[in-house]
Amino acid sequence: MMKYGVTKLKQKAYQYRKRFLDIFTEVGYGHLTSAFSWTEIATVLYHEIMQFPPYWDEAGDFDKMVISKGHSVGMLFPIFEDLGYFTEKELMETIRVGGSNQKLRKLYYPGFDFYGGSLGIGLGVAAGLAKGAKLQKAAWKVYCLVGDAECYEGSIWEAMNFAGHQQLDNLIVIVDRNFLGCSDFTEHMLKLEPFKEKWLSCNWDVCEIDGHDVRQVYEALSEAGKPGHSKPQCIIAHTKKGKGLEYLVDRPLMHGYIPKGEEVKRAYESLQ
Amino acid sequence: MLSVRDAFFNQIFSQVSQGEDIVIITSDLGAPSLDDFRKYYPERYISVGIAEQSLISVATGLSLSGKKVVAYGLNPFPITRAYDQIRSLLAELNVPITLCGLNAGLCSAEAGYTHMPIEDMGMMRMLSNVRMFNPSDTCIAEKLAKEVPTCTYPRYIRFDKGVTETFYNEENINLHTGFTTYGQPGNLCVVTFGCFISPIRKTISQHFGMENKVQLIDLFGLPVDVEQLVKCLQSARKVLTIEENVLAGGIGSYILELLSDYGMSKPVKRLGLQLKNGYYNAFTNREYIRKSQGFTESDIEKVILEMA
Repeated sequence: MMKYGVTKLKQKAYQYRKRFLDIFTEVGYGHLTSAFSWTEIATVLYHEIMQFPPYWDEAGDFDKMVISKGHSVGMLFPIFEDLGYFTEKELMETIRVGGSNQKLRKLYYPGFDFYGGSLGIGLGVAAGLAKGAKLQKAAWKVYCLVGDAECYEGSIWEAMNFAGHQQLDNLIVIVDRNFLGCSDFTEHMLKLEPFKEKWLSCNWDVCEIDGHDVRQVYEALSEAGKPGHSKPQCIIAHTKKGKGLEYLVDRPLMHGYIPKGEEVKRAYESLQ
Repeated sequence: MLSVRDAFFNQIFSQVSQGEDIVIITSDLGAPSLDDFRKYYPERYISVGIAEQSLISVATGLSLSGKKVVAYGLNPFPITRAYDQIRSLLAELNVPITLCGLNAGLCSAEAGYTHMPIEDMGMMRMLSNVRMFNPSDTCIAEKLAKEVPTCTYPRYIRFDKGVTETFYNEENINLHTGFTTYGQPGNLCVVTFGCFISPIRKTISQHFGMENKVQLIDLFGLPVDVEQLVKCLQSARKVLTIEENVLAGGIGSYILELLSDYGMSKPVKRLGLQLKNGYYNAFTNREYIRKSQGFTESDIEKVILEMA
């Protein structure tokens, strides 16, 4: 049963994209298109799905989040601000040049455990967390965001194989399948398809959804989180890199794009 | 006689038997000393297959979940194949994993250059937070194992399968200091580690006794307590470093950096691998390479006698 409902979640997603623009046009650096690619997924995860307290608790008996495609982590700033983890002033202090993001790196926030940067690393960390939970017979689950182009990394397949063999059904991976790497479309560059079958062959349960449809995201994550699957869960979320700013969608070479100068006004006016 | 590896894993088994929550994760590598662990604690022995990147990443996740983790793989692959994971997870995130690499230097040279960890010390020296250990006797190996449950930083341990002696007492080993001394300071300070310690102790004992001529520094842990090490270097007229590594980035380089940083000028001779003609690709072994590079035990003894 949704707590917020579809309309409210859509409003939240719009609010977060807008706030992302505020923050990162101020900073002048960031990965807007990747952040906008998983905005609905992040919104549903943090408002409907993940179980975590509003403060840090050493006992840590709550759900874990690993962002393997670390360049998407910027979307958490507006969400964490909304969750009350920091004030606007603290946020701007954190992200200014010479400021500190140490809290983000030091695993300070509940519901947030690791973000990559070097692609391909996070899924293995998530699998280790999930195995640790199994060893402790803990009930918490591990969510992991993986980029589709990140799946070119061999370490992703090592971790997939491990998680499948270990039957880590407390591990839920969301693949941000936007079909774009940095320089080109994935299927032009080096085919990833048949993508679903590759996960299936490593002994995962797999479903495919529209990653911008909050109801589909909610239903897929709810189903994946139910106990007793006996396999790790993979949700291939079909998304658009840069979603919300239609003039960026399906355009290669927009990976590190941040609007500057006159483009800032255009971005706000275009935001959907 | 126990190897340092087996002394380490026997101690781990003993600790787990006493209730410590330790998990061993491996990239498809066993050991006789792990057989009992696998038999009695199968749920705590996790294999990722021959997948070193996964070894480090999964070990990190286990550690973040609260487990005390020993990761074990065949050197140099956990370092050279998974260096990015080590850099991002051990060094940057400071996750307190104990990473054990079987084989140090040339001790598995029969398998070819691929199985010679001869650059790993330089690679690991460049990273922040990670401490590196080369146990030169079983006592150090056991002490490193005893600290697994309480260790708060990442460690990299190199097991030399040729090291089987025990000449230290636990009370004499300070892991924080990172080195011990043998002999009296004087003309020559010999800085080395691992398999070289035992024969050089014998050389000093046989030729110099407690004369103020040659002091051996067993540099078993890096980084060391620099101030104390500098005092030792200051008290010697000459320095000899010995290692089964390529010279770039090894402990000879480390000593030269220290001498420079502390304004000391004195003759330094570095023994180690100089791969002027590339790697050893033909069938080879440890003795052959040491002989061709001029640091067999008798070569080393000769150099010490000349420099002292």
